[in-house]
Amino acid sequence: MGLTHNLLAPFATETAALAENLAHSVVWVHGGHGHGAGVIWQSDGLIMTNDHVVARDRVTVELEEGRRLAATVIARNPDYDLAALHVAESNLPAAPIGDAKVLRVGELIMAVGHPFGVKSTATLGIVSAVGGATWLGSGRNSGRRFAASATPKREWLQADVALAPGNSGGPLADTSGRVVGIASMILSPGIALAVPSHIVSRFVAALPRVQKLAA
Amino acid sequence: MTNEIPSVLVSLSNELANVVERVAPSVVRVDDGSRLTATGIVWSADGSIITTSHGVERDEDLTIELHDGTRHAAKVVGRDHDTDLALLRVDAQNLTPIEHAPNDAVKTGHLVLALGRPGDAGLQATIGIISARLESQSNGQPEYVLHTDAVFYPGFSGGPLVNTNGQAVGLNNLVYGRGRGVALGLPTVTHVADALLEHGQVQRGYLGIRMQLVALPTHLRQSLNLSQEQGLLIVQVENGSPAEKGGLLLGDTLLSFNGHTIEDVEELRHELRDLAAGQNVTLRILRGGEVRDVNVTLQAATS
Repeated sequence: MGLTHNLLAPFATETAALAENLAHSVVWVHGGHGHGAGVIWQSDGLIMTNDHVVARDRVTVELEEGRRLAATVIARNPDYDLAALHVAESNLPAAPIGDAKVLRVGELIMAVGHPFGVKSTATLGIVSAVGGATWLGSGRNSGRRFAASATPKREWLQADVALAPGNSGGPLADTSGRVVGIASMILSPGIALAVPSHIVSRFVAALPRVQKLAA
Repeated sequence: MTNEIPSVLVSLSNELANVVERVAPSVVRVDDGSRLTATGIVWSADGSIITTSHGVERDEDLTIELHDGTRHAAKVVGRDHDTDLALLRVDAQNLTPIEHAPNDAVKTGHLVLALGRPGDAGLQATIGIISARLESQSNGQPEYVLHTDAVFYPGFSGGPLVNTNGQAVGLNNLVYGRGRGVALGLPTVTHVADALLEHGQVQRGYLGIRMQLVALPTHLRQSLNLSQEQGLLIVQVENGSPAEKGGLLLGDTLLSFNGHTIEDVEELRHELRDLAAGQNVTLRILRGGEVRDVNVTLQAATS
């Protein structure tokens, strides 16, 4: 409001910084179903991704800096399309976690993932809808097609960011770089559905003690 | 990350959400009982709603859901198939009409938001820019159609495309591939909505002839120095029609309309679409090997 100086240049600088910061916390999951992404949820080795990305109990994750780590699938929930992975590593660059419940329609959203195998690709859009949504159409999810209306009615974060296979399991973040969702499904070009961060946090809170499992 | 310095990104994000909130009361859900609901725009505080005609399959027993969640009975006041618009009347007062963007402030490259209320999903929005502004004219007034790269979700039909001030620049209509949309420019929406409010229909210029495309004989083209290769042979003149009153006869070949060469029926339709009843037009015709001009006063179409 009232700003008359050039806003596009700082806007471009800030989106670039946002993408760069976010990419540090995004891993590549080689889990059997082609490629997917994951979010470093906790620095002590907890990585969250989609259930449909991991086909077996042991997968490989690749950090942004290039290191490949063996990961164990410690929990999964196909209903919410979530899977928790653990890597025996500490001091990982965990993403700050936001709150999808306070998002408003129209707020800017950035997604980072590896669409079509292109590493750390960022796309920008807005929050299109918050809360529960029933969809009449059918969705595509890692090559599998299913009717979204046939899936249990649940909470989604919907955005108009461009996503493609390879974004699955990757983050959607707000303008402060806080993760507000995990990309799960593309209903059609421009209709992206993500698991809201509070659902992911609830899932994480119910996990068995990670350290013990990993020992 | 950027908490120390004022972040343009954060401010912009908040402003976008504010625009959506400001426009939200003017965006309604239109339920015609079919599988897919449409979106409508509050046009007047006393209950006029404008939407797409194709999104409303019946004229009665419609339900409008307002921003506050209340539901109201509505019916169709009038439709205009040329622009695919329908004006509805809902039994509610003190509604929030949409604000209008000034015509000259709608440019290719401007940031826009598409809004809709599809299904039971509440208010939804997508972002994009005006990708193209296609100019047209109606009654001498500039009008336009917009292309945008904002995605139109199913059920967005009839909703507004708004600028960053929350003013409508167009009414979302078609999707032309990969979800990207075409919006009818606000001036067109305004003139059609006004006509539907006043008359229940748009009274377009009507001639009362049936035509057939014919090739003009080469020797006539050469002797009359005509550059066009085709014309419209008049195969029927309706009784009492403006064409009959103006003296058009079966067998005349229409060459031009108000100085614009006519080489197919669509071109003539296009000319007529932009003219109102009561206007005088000049038709150049070929009759008996001679070119002559005929003046006709247009009437309103009855259907």
